Parts: sequence; C-alpha cells; structure tokens
Amino acid sequence: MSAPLLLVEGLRKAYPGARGNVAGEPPAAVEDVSFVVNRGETLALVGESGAGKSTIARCVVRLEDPDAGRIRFDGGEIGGLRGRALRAFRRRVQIVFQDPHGSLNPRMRVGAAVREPIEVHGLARGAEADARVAGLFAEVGLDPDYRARFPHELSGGQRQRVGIARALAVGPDLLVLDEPVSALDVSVQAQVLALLRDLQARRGLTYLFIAHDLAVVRQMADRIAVLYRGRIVEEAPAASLLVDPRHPYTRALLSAVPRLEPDARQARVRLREPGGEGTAVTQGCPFAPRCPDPRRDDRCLRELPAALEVGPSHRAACHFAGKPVSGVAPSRPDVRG
Amino acid sequence: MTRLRVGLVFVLALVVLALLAPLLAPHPPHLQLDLAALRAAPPSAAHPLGTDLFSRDLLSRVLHGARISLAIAGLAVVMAVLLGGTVGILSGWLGGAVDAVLMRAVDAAMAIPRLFVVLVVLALWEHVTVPAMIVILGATGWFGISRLVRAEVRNARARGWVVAARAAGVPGPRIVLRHVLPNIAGPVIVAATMGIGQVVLLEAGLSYLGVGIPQPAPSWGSIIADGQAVLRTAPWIVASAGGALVATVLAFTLLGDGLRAWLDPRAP
Amino acid sequence: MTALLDVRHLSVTFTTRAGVARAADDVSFTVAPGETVALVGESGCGKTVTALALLRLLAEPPARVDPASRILFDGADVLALESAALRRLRGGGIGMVFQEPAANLNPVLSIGAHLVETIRAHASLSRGAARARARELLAMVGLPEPDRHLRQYPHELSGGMQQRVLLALALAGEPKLLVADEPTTALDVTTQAEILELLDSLRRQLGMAMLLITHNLAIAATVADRVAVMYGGRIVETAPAARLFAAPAHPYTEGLLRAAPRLDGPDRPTPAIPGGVPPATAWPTGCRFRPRCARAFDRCAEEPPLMAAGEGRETRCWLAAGTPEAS
Repeated sequence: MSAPLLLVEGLRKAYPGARGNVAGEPPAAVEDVSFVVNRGETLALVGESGAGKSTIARCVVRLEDPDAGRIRFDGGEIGGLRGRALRAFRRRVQIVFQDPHGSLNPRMRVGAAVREPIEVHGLARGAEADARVAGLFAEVGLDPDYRARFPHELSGGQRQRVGIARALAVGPDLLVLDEPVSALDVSVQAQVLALLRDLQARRGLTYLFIAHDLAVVRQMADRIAVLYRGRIVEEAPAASLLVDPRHPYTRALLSAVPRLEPDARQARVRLREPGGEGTAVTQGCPFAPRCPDPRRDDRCLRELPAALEVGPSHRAACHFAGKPVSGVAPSRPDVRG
Repeated sequence: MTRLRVGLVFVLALVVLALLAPLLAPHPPHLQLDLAALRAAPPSAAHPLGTDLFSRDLLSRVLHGARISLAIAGLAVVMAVLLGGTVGILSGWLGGAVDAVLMRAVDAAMAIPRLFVVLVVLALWEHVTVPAMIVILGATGWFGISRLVRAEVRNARARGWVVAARAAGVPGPRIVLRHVLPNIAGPVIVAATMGIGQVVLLEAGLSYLGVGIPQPAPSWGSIIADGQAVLRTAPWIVASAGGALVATVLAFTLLGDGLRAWLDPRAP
Repeated sequence: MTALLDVRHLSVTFTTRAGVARAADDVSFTVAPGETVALVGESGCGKTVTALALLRLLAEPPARVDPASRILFDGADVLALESAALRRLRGGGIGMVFQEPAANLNPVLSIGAHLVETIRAHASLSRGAARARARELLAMVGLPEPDRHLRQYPHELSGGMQQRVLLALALAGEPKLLVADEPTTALDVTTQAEILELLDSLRRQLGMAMLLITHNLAIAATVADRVAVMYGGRIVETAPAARLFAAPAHPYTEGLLRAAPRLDGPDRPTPAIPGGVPPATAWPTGCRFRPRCARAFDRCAEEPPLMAAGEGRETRCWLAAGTPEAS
C-alpha cells in the first residue's frame, strides 16, 4: 500500500487568551489529532462548533502552525518549510473556503482572482494565463465571459465555483474543502457537490472535506472522522460509521439529523445537560459531561479513552466502543438505490 | 447623497478659486492702493470685501490666501497620509515586535500636544516658508492616520480573500497592494478629507498668532489678526477672511461626511 | 374552524437601483389555531419578506406592501391597525424568533433586563413579579440555571442558549402564533434538534400555532402539519406535510426533494434543478419556474394559478390540470 498523501500526527493547537469577536466564538483548540488521507480518497472531518475542524484545516495548509505534532505531505514534513519550498508546497495543497462571498476580493474581477495564483507561482503569463483561466472557468461550469465580473455580480453558487477554480489554478494534489457548501441553497449544493465529485474523478484529486452536515458528508466521503471538542472520537469508512456508529457522540449526532422519511426517523438520543454549554473537562473523556450512554461511569470521568479498534479501519475513543449498546440496533442499511 | 454633492461642489469651487486666484483677483494682494482714501474702506462695488488697514483689496487678499491655505493643508495631509499609511501598514500587517515598537512610539508622540510642538518649532525657525510649513504640519499630523490604517489593515488581514491569497502563496507585499489597500482606501480618504479642514484651521491659527507664513503673505490668519484691532470700526476685515475660513472648513467637513456616508453601504 | 392567521394576496415590492423587485407576489395562506405550517423555499423566494410583513416590520420605503394585501389575525386586519394595537399585537398576539440569536440581543443588557422589559410591555406587573415570570419563562425554554442566566449577558451564552432566550422573549407576551424564521439555521445539529423539540412541546403545552420558515425540507417534514413551498415570490404548492414529501405535485418541490442531501434514501442525490434563481426584478413571464423545469410545455408560457391537486392540496402548475404529460 502506498504511503498516504497526508499524514497528521498528534496535532495540538490552543488559543490561550483568545476571546470571541463580534462575529462569533474564538477558534477551537485541537488536542492530539491524528489521521491520514490516502491518495485519491476523500476524508471527511465532521463536527459541530468548537470541534476544531477549521483549526485543523488551517494547520494543514500552513496558514497556522500547530503547537505540537507533525504534519507530513507526500512524505515530507511541512512544519519547517520556508520560502521556495513553502511556495512549492502551496502549489500542491490548496483550500476552498466556506463563505463564497467573503473569500473573494470585492474589488477584483473574478477572472483576475483566478489568475493571480497562476502568475504568482510563475506558471504562465499574459495570454497563456488568460487561456488557462478560461479553461478553468469552463471546467467548473462557468461561462468564461464571467471572468470580467465582480463577485457581487454573481450568485452564491457561482462564487463558490470561482473559489474552486482558483484553488485548482495551480494544479494541486490535495484540496482542503472547509464547509464548501454550507452557505449555499439546497439545489445549488447538489450542483457544487456533483462538480466536486466530477473534478476528483477527472483530476485524481484527494479531498480533506470539512463539514458539520452528515447528510452532505455522506455523499462525498470515503472515510469519516468525527470530532468533538478538538479530539477525534470516531473514525471509520463512511458506510460503517453511518450504519454502525460506536461512539455515543456519533450516535447522538446521527439521531439529531432531521429525516424526510417518517420511517427513517429514530428516537433522538438526548444529550445530558440539555440547553447547557458542555463544560470543558480537564481529565477523562471530553464528552463525558454530556454523554447519554447509560453505561457512563466513573471511569469515563477519570480516564481519557484510547482509540479502540472496533472493525476494519474503524476506531472509536470510548471505553465501551467494543460492545454495541444492547437494545439499540444499528440503523438499517438503506436498501433503496 | 446631498451632503456629498454639496460638499463636492463647494470644495471644487474653492480649489478652482484658489488655483485661478492670480487671474480672478482684481488687484495684486500686496498692492497698497490709496493709503489716504482707501484705508480700511468698507465693501463697495470697486472692492466687494472692502480694504484693509494698508488699503489692500481684501477680495484679492482672501483669494490669494486660499492658495496658501489649501496648498499647505492639502500637501501636509498628503504627507501625513504617506507617513501614517506606511507606518500603519507595517504595524498592521507584520504585527508582533514591529507593531509594538511602532505603536508605542506613536503613543508617545501623540501624548505631546501638536500645537505645542508646532509652536516651538516655528518659534525657533528663522524664516517660515510654505514648504517648511507643509513639512512641519505633515510631520506632526500622521499619528492618528497610522492608527486608523493599522486598524483597517488588521481587519483586512482577517478578511476571507486575504486569507485565501495567503493560502495560495501570494507574497505579502502583493497582497497588501492588491487586496488590502483598495479595500481600506475609503476610511482613509474620509479621514484625509476631514484632516484638510482641520489643518486649514490650524494654519490659520498659527498665522493669527504670528508664527505662520510671515506678512505680507495674505494668510487668512494674518488678515484676521490685522483686523482684530479695528473689529468695531472695520468688521469686514475679520469677516472676509473669517468667512472664507468657515466656508472652507465647512466644505471639507461636508465632503468628508458625505464620503463616509456614501462609502458605508457599499462596504463588503 | 376559522383561521387564526389568514393572509390574502400579500404582495411586497422593493424599489432598487436595478428596478422594482417583486419579493412576494400575491401570497395567500392560512394558519389554523394550534397548527404548525412550514413556509419552505430557498433564498430569494420571498419567505422572509412574508414573515416580516406579518408584523409590519418592513421598512417602507424601500419596501412597499401592496394596498390590496390583507393580513387577518384573529379577525383584525394587521395592515390597518393603528400603532397602539400594533404594538400589542407584536409579542402579544404574534411572537417572532429570528435566525441569528446573537444579533437580536442587546450586548449591554442582561438577559433579565431583556425579559423584564418585554414582560412589562405586555402586562402590568411589578418588577419583582416580572422577574419571577422571567425565571419561569427561562425554565420553560429549558435553560438549566434560570437564576444565573438572568444575571448573565448575551455573550456569556452559547448560540443555542441565546436562541432559547429569544424564544422566551417571544413567548413572554403569551402569543397565539409564533413565527420562527430559520430559528435553527445558525445552530449545531444537536442543538437544532433540541430547539425543534422544544418548539414542538411548547406549542402543544401552550396551544400555540406556529409558522416555521425554513429552507430545510427535513425540518419541515418533521415538525409541520402543513407545508407551503415558495418560489419566485409565489406559493407554488401547499399540502399536508406527509403527503407533500411522499408525492410532491410541483416540479420544483420534486426537484428540491431529489437534490436534498439525506441520511436516508439515495446517497448520490441528483442535481435535478439546473441553473439558478433569477433576480426578483426580472421574474420570467409565464410560470416562473419554467426556465428550470424539465417538464415544461407550451401551456407554461401562461402563468398558472393555484389549483387543486388532491384533498387539501394546491399547486401552481398546469400539470395538475390533467394534461397528457401528467404522470
């Protein structure tokens, strides 16, 4: 088996003294996060606010440096990269952001925005760069005439396509997608996700897909890692995770997603301390204060659970992960095509 | 919108008047016309603003004074923006030690009252020329702008497209030039415009105190100083220059305010 | 049973630089006492404008409510109320909750201050009595430590807790109808589920009707008795919730259902609706969905009215008129 394209080991980052700004809460801390992404696959990082997904994304693309841990891309450590080597790294790892409106310079035409990485990395100039931009626009399903438009002249879905084109401009191997469709309407979401799948197949891309919506993730991911308060609590192939979740948080998360089909609705797993904050813990399992599992005990509060192997490539950080909760059958695998 | 339009028209009119002063002024400003008959003469058809104590036509003096005031204020503010902008960008973009050192220096400088510094320098200066005045006012007026630019640059640094540019490997200077500056221009322009009005007033005050551009240059402040002694008998002397001063400051303030209002809803 | 809320021919336009935007066009629907109706649609469909119009919260200008519009609440025409009666209606007859909880709380006022102010606006109670009632309300919305929360400031609470406070504020006047505009969109999934359950239990406990505005079909399916789908400023389909989702009558609804990402059902939804929503200043002529509809045919050049499509169902589509294409 070839080496993974991205390897993250023991990642730790905290923001001491950070306060939230008016726009929201302070960035979430990340503690001892390890995962790999293999060539050509899509790993989804799923979690709610405070899980640390964006922190991880920013560390992976070297927008920030972790406090501890290693990140290896294609075998090489990225932590010490500077200057030319850092530039070369940026050609191979790119990021698409959540807010299609905020991630584009409002005073810059979108064609110029897509062109900039090409010029900055010395890949092409003048007419050739123009041609590449036109090609990229066509590839993401945008009329090349739109190159002359400003962001405010485009819809949310179109802007996000521009963001994708910009990320692809340098020909990366790995694309980090930070909630790429969360801000889009349902019908547009479907279009953009289909585009992303299509691009992955055509260009052989590897995706690190970050989202809070499990239903979206289900369409994209080969493997899923669930984050809670800065730690990975469960990691498994997508099908296994959705059908046989072994961590109480994963189960709660799955049961909380509203279902269209009345038959598919389960009794919701209610978390403890409803309406409360979810206090941070200094020892033991970080999920313990809210854990609804009837087997929760003293050990959970004292001892941090290690990641247990519960199946092929399936790990869960819960003392009781190895034993499915009696009386709670795994959800029926969906039979319809 | 109307504030903006009125202010713009007003300011443009002032600029045009100032530029064309030599052509528009009926008499040379230094010319003493008729010491006997026209000394401190009230406004008349021949002299719409009257004459001063040395029988010089006030309209001509005020027009030429506009050139002095606007030139000094305009260029001093440009200098302040360049200085303050540079410091603000370095501080805001680089952060860390650079920011700390620069901002503490700015804090220290701002702790000393500007008027005091200017007065001391001018008092020691032998012969104050227009360029000298510009430099002195510019060099003492950039601190507030540096803070404003620093704040704007820091905000801009966190904006989505700047983060995206960093992630794409775009070099720092280019990001500042193409992604930061165009988006912070607004508040800086507003501050600069208001600043011009303030400097006009400051320069007039210095001339009034007698430490500004020396006589017989028709600085509005000197005209007011001259006319102060005869305020009861010949109020038009103070009124002419004083009125011009008020009109000018008002015009720039309106323009600045109008620009602020106009730029606001367009902010991304 | 007479409707609690009866909206008839509501039209709202905005004058913009690009022209006149018809944000809501001839919108009519009802909400019966105790019923939950979901208003579903994507951005630009007019659902939020409709909600704001109910309490006359739109700034006119630039908005303009067409004089032919009627909003009847408990018999009275909201659009004709004079200011004192309107003030009593807001919070007293109809309570509203919005999307971004933090944006709707004053950062310099404590939670207790917010609540006491609202309580006393609808009932003449002493400060002490109002505070006691505030405590009750906070407990009712599921906040674990009401006394502590009364003293706290908005920024000290999480998004979910803030939304519960806003709910308490909306309920303080004991309204008969709660209008909730995307109340959970900005919240985490687990918090969202808690809030939705809370809304449901409060509704039953207080005998309240609810108008829920959302773009999330699954939420509508779980919570609503009846659903109205909006597109292009118009209502394009109404039906009881279960039947709407089991068998949609309008191609847009069908497209939305096929495009929605789901945990149940097919894991590769088809992007069934091509193109995008046109601007409200330039709706297409004829059926507004026609340019994006795979089943459009010549009659669609004429805009369809709402027509019956089964019992208790209406749809704005010629396919329901029994043409050969209807399958």
